Amino acid sequence: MLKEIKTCFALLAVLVFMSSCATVKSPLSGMWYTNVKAPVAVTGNSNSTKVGSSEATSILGLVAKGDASIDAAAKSAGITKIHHVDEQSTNILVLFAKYKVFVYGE
Amino acid sequence: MVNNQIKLACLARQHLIVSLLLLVSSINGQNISKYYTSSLQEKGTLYFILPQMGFENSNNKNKLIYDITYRTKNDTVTLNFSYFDKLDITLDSIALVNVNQELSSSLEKLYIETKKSKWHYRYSSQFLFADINTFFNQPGPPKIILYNRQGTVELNIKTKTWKKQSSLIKKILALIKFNK
Repeated sequence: MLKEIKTCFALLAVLVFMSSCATVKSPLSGMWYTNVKAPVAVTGNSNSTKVGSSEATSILGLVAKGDASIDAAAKSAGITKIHHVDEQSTNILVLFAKYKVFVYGE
Repeated sequence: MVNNQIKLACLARQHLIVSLLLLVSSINGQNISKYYTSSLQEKGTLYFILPQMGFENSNNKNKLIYDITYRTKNDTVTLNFSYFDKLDITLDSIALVNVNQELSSSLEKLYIETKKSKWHYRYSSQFLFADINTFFNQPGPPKIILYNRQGTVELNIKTKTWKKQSSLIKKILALIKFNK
């Protein structure tokens, strides 16, 4: 009985670690560690005086939450005219992942 | 046979240690670049210090998260913050209180939304760059006071968190000053 329970837990652990990796959208990714900034969009508006950010996180690939939308980032700084948008992706050992969006504008 | 197994075990252990060392060195180094962004503009460089946590009310554990935006060639720093509270309040002004100084600013409302069972208040305030620089150079943990029509809300930060946070922001502000 004990052996069966142990096997179940082992299978569950394998399932968690093999199928539920915390991944993040990024142009480049490292197996151990990722911290990459990249462009998302540029507009024709000319100047930036404000910066807003938004983020979403994933833990073990099991739980992912947050609002990393451009709208949330723009709203957080009161931006109505967007100049450009950047993103930052962080991943630690595919256990923890974070995706951030930065909106520049006025 | 046994020797081969020992060799393999040693190799695996070495590989694991090297992997862990590389990981720790890449994470723990005081790399401030991941705590701010900068963008070159027509009228100076626009710096953004990413949201910082740690300030909370000691009674109801309501939290405040702030970020800082600064454009060189300007005198003022924009401090935007989110405050979470169950109560329906109208914030008027903010004060950053330290042992030697008290900085005050009126507030501009960005939005009010709900987050779980609390209200998410998002406001913007302006401070002088020189004042903010002095504020983060104070050793003791400061407090933030939010003034509203119903009274005041006092938010404190743990000494350990403040030490880490202030040293980080001090370093970023120093970098901004060098590039002015």
